[in-house]
Amino acid sequence: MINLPYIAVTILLLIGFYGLIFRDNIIKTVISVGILASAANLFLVSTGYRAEGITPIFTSVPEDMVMVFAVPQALVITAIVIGLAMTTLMLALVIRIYKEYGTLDTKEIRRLRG
Amino acid sequence: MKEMSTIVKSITSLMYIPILVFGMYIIIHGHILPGGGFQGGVIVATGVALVFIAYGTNKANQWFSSKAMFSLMSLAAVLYFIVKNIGGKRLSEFLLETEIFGPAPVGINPGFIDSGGVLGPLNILVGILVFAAVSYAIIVLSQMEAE
Amino acid sequence: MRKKVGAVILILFFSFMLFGASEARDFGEPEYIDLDEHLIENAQEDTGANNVVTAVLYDYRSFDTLGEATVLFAAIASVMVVLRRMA
Repeated sequence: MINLPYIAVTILLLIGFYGLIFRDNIIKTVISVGILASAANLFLVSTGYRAEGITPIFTSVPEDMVMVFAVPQALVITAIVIGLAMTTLMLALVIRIYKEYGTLDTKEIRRLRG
Repeated sequence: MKEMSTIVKSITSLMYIPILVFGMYIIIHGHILPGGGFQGGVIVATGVALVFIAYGTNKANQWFSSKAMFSLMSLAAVLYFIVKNIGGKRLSEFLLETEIFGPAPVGINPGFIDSGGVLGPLNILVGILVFAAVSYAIIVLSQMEAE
Repeated sequence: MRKKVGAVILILFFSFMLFGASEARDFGEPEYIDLDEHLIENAQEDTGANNVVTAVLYDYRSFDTLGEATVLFAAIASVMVVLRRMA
């Protein structure tokens, strides 16, 4: 089994896009966007791995070990917090949609009223 | 949301202080142990969510107000901008020379807190910013009633 | 109609991604290591911190953290505008 993290990224992409295309509930759309963001973060972290490496911190580590790369981990910290802000704004919009239309089905909401 | 039973309320009043102390420990030791501003800020915001679940929204609104959280977040963002841009190079050289936050010994060593230059105040400011932002989102989103 | 077109495109996309994942570089053997080697060796002397990830986030790339604080502030301000009547 070569390149197992990259195959896991493709499986997560498949699950995210399936929930985005084939399901009608709005809450499932919000969850699928979160799964797609997790797939991107996993791919970004797994590009900076060296064989048998330890965390890049100098406090009380065993001697003569190679360290993993440090730049992709800093970029992923920023990307996770941006995903949190995106989920918050989407949930606020879902609250306003529910108060206006009374239902959470996207086939009913497609016909604009009022 | 309605409030929960007496057991949950008494355990929450005991557990809120250790969660706050643990979050501040991860924020302050950002340049020695894995952690930093973003991770510790989210941990402290978890304690606010616990108080809102256990005590109900009517009573917990008297302890945390949404306008105070928004003002705190704006203040932390402006202070971070000022500390980074105006005092970026000069402040770090000043802190490294006069040994308030001095240099660290090279190589593998047990960590010392008084090291890191301007990284110490920046960690605390980012921690306050993330805590205020996530707490504001939790307070506002939990006041919606299903009519 | 929408679901049939979506199913065909999804199968094509998934097979293309699987082909790309198996032909990529081996996991654990990166090729360009000059930048990260320089950062790991000189981070303790330049910044004075033991944690290389924190030194990269706040010293070598501090403008990315400033942009991330701006994104957080913009999202929270938008939540305040959308849910206005409920404080």
